[in-house]
Amino acid sequence: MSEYGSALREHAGLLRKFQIEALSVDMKIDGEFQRILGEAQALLEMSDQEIADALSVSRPTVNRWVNGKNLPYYAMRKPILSWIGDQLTVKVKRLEASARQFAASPSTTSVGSRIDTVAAASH
Amino acid sequence: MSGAPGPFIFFQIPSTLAKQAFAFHQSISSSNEHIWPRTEEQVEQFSKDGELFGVRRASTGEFVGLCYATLDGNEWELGGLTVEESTRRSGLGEVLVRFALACTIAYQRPWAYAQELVAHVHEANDKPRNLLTRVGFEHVGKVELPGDKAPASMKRNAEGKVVGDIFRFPRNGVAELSSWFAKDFKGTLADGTTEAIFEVRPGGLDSIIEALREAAEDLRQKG
Repeated sequence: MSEYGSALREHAGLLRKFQIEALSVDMKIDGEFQRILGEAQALLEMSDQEIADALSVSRPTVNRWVNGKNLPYYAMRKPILSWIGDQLTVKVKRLEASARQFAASPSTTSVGSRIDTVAAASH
Repeated sequence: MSGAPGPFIFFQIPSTLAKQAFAFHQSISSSNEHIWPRTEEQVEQFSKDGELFGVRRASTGEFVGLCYATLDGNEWELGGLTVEESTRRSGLGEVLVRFALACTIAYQRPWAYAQELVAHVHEANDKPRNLLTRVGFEHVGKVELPGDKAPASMKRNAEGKVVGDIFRFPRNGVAELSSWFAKDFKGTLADGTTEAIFEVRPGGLDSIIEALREAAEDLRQKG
């Protein structure tokens, strides 16, 4: 497998590890919810606005959560975490698919298509 | 189209509908001396901040109700309650206030951050008082604004001041609010036939009900 393919697999593994951690922490603890949301945001490379749009809440609401202010009740955290889990699953699948693609034909992939694949796997 | 029954959809108004929301607000506030007229910029900001709640007809999308719950200092102020004439006495305004309260409590957890929920009503405006009381608000005092600090359209008293009453939603009102959504609400307005739909994401209305139960229990334990 190419070096790039290995990097994609490694990144996918990191996301899976985080996904497992996110499922295991006690989300009733304010600090844990805030931490997981912040780390998920970084790993998913999403802005406050993108998260707000996906969850049908406002950007300032997401901003407050990320900064530990006016964190919602646990009942409202569950669907948020479920959404984060879904996003991570989608991203992991994309990364793994890209890694497989590189493993199958590393020598025939042009630099241009490689850049395209990186972009696709990241979003 | 006006006067026709629902279904009505209760929802948090996104900024893409802020102009329509402002037009609705203006259509009522411009001829009502008891309502604080908000500017288009303010209404747009409320929507961007997730603080604007409304009711629309499912069939046409037409606005029939509006209110906001905005954070000012350490108080979430519920205000700007306006309901289209033809839907008054249907209980739509009361459901809207409950909806705005429920969303604000579930998402913002105000008491955990030493914030209160309040509403201000012009002293000469009788209509919202019973509504607020039915929902659980309590009258806690009066507020006076000098004439030069209040919008020109608002009614002054003999001294030239705009005087209002302050209502506060108490912590122990959450249990009743939770019970209303979980048990009393049967999917219709007070007439028992006009369908009322809550558009809530993420998690739907069940999440809001669960959050209100959680809030009631949390506040009960903390006394």
